Amino acid sequence: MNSQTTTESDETLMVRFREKNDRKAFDLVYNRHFSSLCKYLSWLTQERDTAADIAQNIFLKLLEQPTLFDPTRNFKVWLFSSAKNQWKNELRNRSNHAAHLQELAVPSSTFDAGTDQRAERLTAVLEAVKTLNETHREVFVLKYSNNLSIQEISQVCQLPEGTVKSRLFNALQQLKSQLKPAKHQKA
Amino acid sequence: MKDMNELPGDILDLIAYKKYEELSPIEKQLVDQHLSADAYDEYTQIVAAFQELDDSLPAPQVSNRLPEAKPSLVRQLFTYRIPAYQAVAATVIALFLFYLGTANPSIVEGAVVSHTDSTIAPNAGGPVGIETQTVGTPLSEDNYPEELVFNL
Repeated sequence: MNSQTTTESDETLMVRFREKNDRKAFDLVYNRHFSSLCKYLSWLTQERDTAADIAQNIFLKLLEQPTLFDPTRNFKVWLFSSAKNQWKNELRNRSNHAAHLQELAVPSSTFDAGTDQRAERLTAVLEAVKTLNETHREVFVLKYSNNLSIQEISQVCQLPEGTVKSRLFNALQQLKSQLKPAKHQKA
Repeated sequence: MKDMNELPGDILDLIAYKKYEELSPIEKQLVDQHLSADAYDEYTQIVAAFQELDDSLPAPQVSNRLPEAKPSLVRQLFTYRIPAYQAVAATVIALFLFYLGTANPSIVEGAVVSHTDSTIAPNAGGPVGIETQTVGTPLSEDNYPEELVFNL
């Protein structure tokens, strides 16, 4: 069986890893979610290196202590919740959080923009997303970058589903208002 | 069109992957209850642009950066690796000791006999080991302590 193309759920793979010490099952889960988790953390932390470190730490802990994850739970929810909690712990240990928030999440020059027009468009989107407050940005990223369902987001953020929906809608409205002037300028 | 602070989850899902013109009649009906077609398409474009941005961001490489998990102590014990020559040498030594113990039992018996001799007859003269056992005052009739002599 090619483990890279298996359709087994994350939870099933984690049970295999936990009970049979099947490292391939773990690697498959890691490959499925590592990049996605890093992206979420990048948007959340505004620091790519920190994001990668936190994501790496979470998988390392899970590797050493498979019992950390309860297979009756949704793995993605557990993963993103753990990442968020670890970031909160990291913040508590920092005295210069405010300074970090001023940093650019992802410098505009870092993405593969291609043409100037595309670069300009993506930069505008990036700047608009950065203007969202942390809570709105988080649900927006979980929904449209990580493809979590409303229910999963509500579990990760520990919010009622209605609040998640309203935050998503608010985020969309804010982005629309941020990006509209740019459109008009172009026109 | 309803004026509300949130959109149904279905619309928030649809925005991620369908333009208004691609919606089924039922989906259009749902969208029309909450948004205009133009507003829906604007949100669709925003989400598409964000996803394009998100995809273009360099993600950390998914690699084999994770080390092997530490196995349990018992597992470590059973999977502990040693060089073949050490295993062979240990086997040879074990066999040699076993051979010594079984093929020439007199060595062991002799040692016991010698010790026994030294205990029972310290002055009989004999193996070297006896001399080490005969330290102290030899008991004879001449120097036997008087307080231990009972005249019956």
